[in-house]
Amino acid sequence: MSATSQASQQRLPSLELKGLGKQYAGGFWGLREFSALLQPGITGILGPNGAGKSTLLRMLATLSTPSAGEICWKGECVPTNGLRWGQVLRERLGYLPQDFGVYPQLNAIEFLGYLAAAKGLSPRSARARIDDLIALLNLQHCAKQALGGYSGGMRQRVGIAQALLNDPELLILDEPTIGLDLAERAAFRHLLAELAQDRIILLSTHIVSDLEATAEDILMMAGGRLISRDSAESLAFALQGQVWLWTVPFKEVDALRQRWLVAGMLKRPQGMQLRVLSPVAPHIDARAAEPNLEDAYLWATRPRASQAEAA
Amino acid sequence: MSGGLLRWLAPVWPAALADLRERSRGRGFVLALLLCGALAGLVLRGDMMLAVGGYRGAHNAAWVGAQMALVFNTMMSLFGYFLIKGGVQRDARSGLDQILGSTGLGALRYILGKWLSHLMLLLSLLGVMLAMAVLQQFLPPAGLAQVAMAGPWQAATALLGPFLVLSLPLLMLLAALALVFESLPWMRGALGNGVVLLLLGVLMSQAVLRSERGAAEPLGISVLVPDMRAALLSQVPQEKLPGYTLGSGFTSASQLRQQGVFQWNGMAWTARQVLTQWAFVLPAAGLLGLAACFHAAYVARGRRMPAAEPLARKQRGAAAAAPLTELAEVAPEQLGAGRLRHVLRLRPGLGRFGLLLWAELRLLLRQPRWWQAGALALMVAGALLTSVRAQHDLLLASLAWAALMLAPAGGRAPAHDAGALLGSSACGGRSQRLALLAAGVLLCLVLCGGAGLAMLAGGRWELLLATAAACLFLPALLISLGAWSGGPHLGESVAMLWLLLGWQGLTPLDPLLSGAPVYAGLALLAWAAGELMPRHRLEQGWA
Repeated sequence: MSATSQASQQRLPSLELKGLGKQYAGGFWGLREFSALLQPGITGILGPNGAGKSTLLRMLATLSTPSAGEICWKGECVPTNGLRWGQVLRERLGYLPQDFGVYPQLNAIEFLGYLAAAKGLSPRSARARIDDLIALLNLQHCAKQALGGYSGGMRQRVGIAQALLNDPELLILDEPTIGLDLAERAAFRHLLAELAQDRIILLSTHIVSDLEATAEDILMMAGGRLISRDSAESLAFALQGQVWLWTVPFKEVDALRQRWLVAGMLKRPQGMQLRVLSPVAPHIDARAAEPNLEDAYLWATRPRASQAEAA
Repeated sequence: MSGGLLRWLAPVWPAALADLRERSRGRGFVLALLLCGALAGLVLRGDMMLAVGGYRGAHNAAWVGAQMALVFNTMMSLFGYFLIKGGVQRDARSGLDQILGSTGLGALRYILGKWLSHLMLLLSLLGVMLAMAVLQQFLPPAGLAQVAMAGPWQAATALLGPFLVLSLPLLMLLAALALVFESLPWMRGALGNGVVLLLLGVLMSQAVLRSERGAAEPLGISVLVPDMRAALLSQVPQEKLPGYTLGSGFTSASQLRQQGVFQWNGMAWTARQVLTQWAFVLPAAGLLGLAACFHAAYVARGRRMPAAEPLARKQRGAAAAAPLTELAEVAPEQLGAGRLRHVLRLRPGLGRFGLLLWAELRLLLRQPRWWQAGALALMVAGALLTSVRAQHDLLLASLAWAALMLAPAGGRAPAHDAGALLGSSACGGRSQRLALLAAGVLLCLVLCGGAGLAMLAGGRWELLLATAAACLFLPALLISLGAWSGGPHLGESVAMLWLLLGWQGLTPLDPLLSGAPVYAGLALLAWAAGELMPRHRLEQGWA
């Protein structure tokens, strides 16, 4: 590797998580032995409720201290039991929580100005950056109105703006597209794709199509552990030949849903079309379908009984 | 009661219970109970005593019950509002009011549910006082011999009577009054706090004046004190008896122990007395009706939101028409990250802290005009007053004025769910808390600045130092209480109670008379108490 290339590699951020764990009071592990190397690009996190996604994100956002493990930023490892690890990440962090509030009496410019100070931005940088973000997220018309009067989508855009305030190298987004309309979601995807060129973006969402369209890498979690990691295409491809479309009479739907793992249903004139995930065709009339990320997710997180049956 | 009315009232109880559960499971409620226990402790220890004409009653169930009830009524009429308010506002903030508005509950039943919840909260505080009064029957304060009453039944009725006849209707009235202010969105903040404080202060002074004339008033002073005075006159007829005094300093409390004692065996309640006090339930009902009207009007107006300006109308139209899979292709081109200018981060250190301090100060100074005008008036008056006593009172008033703004700041982030945003920032956590403390100290110093200059000119160094320590203590206390309770109400109540009791003569609670080292130490303790909160809660709650 040439010196220039090495220097460029050095400049690009990398975040390595080594055996991270979080144990809550009462001994319950919300996250256990989580290891992953995150590099520039969008990494999606998928998992059912209670899988440990929010625990992981909150930990990386420095809001919760890991009980075990190590975090390495650009190759420099920091023990997580000290105070320094939080500061190391915070300097480079942009975080959009799933639920967040704003100060309702402040307007968007004032609120972003306050957070810019909290993020350590110089006043001049903060002013320029806030102007850019207000324009970028199309908040100009309401930038001087009190945030208390904002709709959910507008408030979410303010949330996105604050996450981008300090030009973060590590961007953590928890359900960022909630409240955004279709066009805003599309614009947001574009923005993420651009930002992802030289920074790490960790994106957790239940909207699988958002991940499918943007994330190069998907971390699938269940029970506080990382159960698989691959690209959306590869995860879906692994289910090739295991996704079936099968149209059945309406009255049989309930019984069949008990027996098969059904990923979706569509009402048709001749009955209900089930999307069944199974290594074998559920019926002679069932025809194979192209798998997608949602199928892969449901398959990976299916109940243990179904997993044993499939095995 | 007809079946129809019962059916109509049926949803009120579950609504009240849900509200009560939500509120009573917070740390603020536990702290309020502790505060009430501490207040009862002051009475129990004999540090806050009721005196009639300089005499105290013999320590029996009747005297203890009356004393506790009067202390409770007085304190609740001044600070009960700050402890119970917030239920309607929380529903508005969480959006629950919209869900409730879409049900058949209606404004009146909603308000009734809130009133019942308020009342139960206040009753739980009353329960603490009552429990302490019962406890005192078995553990009298040192130096005060217990005087047994005729029998347990007589003792029980004498102890409970003042609570049932005097405190209950007052609490009903207070719970309703709080709802009137809560139902007006513009009265929920600092303006409402100021108006309520003023209103209750006037009401209390009126109550004391009316009690002199024997006229009805909700605190119950006019019921108890004349009866006590009659008992005193029958035992010490030569005494010229002034009126009613409540609360005295440690010194005067110990002086009272040395002074005369008279026997008072409690009220022989008449139907007229009971009905007169319970008649205050009628204005409470009127206030509830008023609150329901205000709330109905608020719900009918709906939430005002700025009209959403489209990203780009044409593009939005295209996007709406496009299938989801094609969205990536219709995204507006101009929304590029390339337009973002690079930022300059400050190096960790004083510059960064100074910036944060400035941001916190600006937030603190974003106050309504009436507050700013009041602050200016206090500063100017402080510089002009020359009397030491007047300066002392004015400094306490300035601290109270600052507390009105500092209490919301202490619990600002948890109250608005903004803790995660701050907690994940480079200067979040302790730096932000320190910046807030520094901004609070500066605010207090500025407010006391006029008097400070006068003290400087007069060479009153001791008072000057005590003022500086008080300016350190008050923000530390309010920020700590805000962190623990997650809102402004507890801080407001404690600070006001603290300053009022200090002003009333409880010297240890007067930051200006207790000396600078004491309050500097208390400031450190208060700050440490805030920092003792588990880190993850601090980070989640308010960075």
